[in-house]
Amino acid sequence: MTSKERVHAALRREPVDRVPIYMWYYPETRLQLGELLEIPAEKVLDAMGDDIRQKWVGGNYAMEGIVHDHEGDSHIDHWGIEWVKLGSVNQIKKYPLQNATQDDRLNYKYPYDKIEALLQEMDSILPLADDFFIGCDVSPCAFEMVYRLCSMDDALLNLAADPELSSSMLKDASAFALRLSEIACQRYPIDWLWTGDDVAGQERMMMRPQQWREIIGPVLAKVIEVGRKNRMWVAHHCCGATRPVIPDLIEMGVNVLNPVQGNCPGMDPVELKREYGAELAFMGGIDTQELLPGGSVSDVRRETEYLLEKMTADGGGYILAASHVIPHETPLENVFAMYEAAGVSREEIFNRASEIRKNK
Amino acid sequence: MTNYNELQECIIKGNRIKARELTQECLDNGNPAKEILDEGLIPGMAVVGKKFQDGEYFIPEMLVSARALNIGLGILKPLLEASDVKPVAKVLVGTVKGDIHDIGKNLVAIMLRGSGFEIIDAGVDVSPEKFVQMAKESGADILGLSALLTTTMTAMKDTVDAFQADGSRDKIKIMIGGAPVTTDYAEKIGADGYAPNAAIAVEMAKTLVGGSR
Ligand code: B12
Repeated sequence: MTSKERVHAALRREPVDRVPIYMWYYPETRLQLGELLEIPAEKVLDAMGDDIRQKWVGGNYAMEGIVHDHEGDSHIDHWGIEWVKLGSVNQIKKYPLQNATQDDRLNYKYPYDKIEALLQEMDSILPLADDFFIGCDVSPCAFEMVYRLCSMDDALLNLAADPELSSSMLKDASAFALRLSEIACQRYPIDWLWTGDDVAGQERMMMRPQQWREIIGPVLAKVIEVGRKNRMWVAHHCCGATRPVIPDLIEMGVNVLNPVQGNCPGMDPVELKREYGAELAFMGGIDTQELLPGGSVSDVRRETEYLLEKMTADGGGYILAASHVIPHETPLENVFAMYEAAGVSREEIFNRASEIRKNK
Repeated sequence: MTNYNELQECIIKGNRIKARELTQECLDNGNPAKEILDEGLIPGMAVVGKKFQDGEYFIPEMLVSARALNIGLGILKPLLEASDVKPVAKVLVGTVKGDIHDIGKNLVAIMLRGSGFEIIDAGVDVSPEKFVQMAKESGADILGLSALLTTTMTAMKDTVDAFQADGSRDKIKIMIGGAPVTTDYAEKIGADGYAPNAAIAVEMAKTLVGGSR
């Protein structure tokens, strides 16, 4: 089975040779793996055997796609957001609409003229489309985009202080994600449209679920619909305790939910599978807060095996992944343990790495 | 005897315009600033904390209440200082080095401020040395550290150690919190306490300074 076939089959709940895998790594973790495998960091996914290749064409590109050499280096992105390198990824230094007037917020112009440049990110993975499952990440789609423009405090405050303004800004944010999605879906052989919008913390959602339904859900639904109209799978990323709106996401047409932080209330993956598994597939669930950095190899192996069994009980609907980027304090042996449990041996990985070295 | 229900209600509903009016009105009627604080603003904020705890309020509602609270506090502050009323305690809060998650830290600061504590906010990505320096300058009684990443949790230990090395560890109580943090971890690194949310952080802070005032 090619990677592409494997992911499609899993999402259709059809038989697969092994569960599909798509891990996210901190840049340092990827470097460590690269060193161990004696291959460049950007080849790590190839050696590990991951099945999905994805690029961000929306705001995430500015955060993770632009890599600076030195701590403190910065850039201003197409949205007017200033980013500075802090540790491994860029973080926002200046929000273009923080302290802006209401008019400025309502008149803010998204970088529609930069869409072609943003979509070029896809070029590097399109040649892989025969073998790999290709994703196009248009996130952040709504609330998360608004907060990147005017700061988190401000975006949250306005949800209660000025819902009308919030609603209008959310519409603008999602309209941009929608345009990106439309062009990408029509132009490229994408397998899934990756949407995302972080609206939950460790204990619960950031805003009232009812308010999410009133002003965030409806604008998000339009972006999701683009993927569905173009007959591709739609994945959605939202960290934390998002349980209250999972039925809404299903109703909107989301096929795959990520990253499933099992230690948040209501987010036990096995329970979610039982309740929503008929309509929703999952990608994630391997805990990065305790298990991966703190657990032993046998803990990781046992937990992964358990999840694989339960999450594929109906014949599929699961993509093995951690509940976010794998932090670099994770012992690499724990990373291999996850792959082992999925049927990808250490030996196989090292063999592929040596092939990669030869073909260089 | 003034009925402070209405002022409390302004804080609960986050009505900052009315909160300003009523705070001023109470003062104009000759009520002491300390009484307005203790019977109007603080009980109002306590209800907000309870509603948050009970899942009726979420972060946005809390922030709107905090805005109203701050207006009231702003009016009272110079008067409280002039009459030598001391805050419950001074708390220095900040997110540790390498970490920029700040919503949780901000909520903790809001609830503490709303309970009569004075807050000094060190911001995010704060180095251990900076915490030590700011604690000295401000004379803080408590240090509240926030970390949301397993990767940056270790900076909490570095910060506790920096206070040790500086010889000022016994002058300050240290409480910690954030998504990956636990009571066990607090014990392990020699912090004085852990709280899982902003409401419990207030209880914790009160316990930590209990007896000393
Ligand atoms: C919003 C968010 C962000 C925003 C932060 C914006 C901001 N201004 O804060 C942004 C996008 C910038 C971000 C970036 C990253 N994030 Co983030 N983020 C989150 C998210 C979704 C919500 C956090 C939040 O605001 N919660 C709401 C507040 C109210 O809750 P809270 O912070 O937990 O605080 C409460 C309690 O913990 C406690 N508390 C908090 N502080 C304190 C302090 C004291 C003294 C006390 C007593 C109590 C206390 O009281 C608070 C109120 O009740 C979490 C998901 C999660 N499960 O938490 C991920 C999460 C924390 N992020 C994660 C990651 C991986 C990252 C990035 C590395 C991603 C990347 N590739 O760039 C970067 C790192 C940036 C950095 N260097 O700091 C992971 C961490 C996993 C791990 N292994 O540790 C999480 C858990 C998501 C996940 N799926 O795993 N993130």
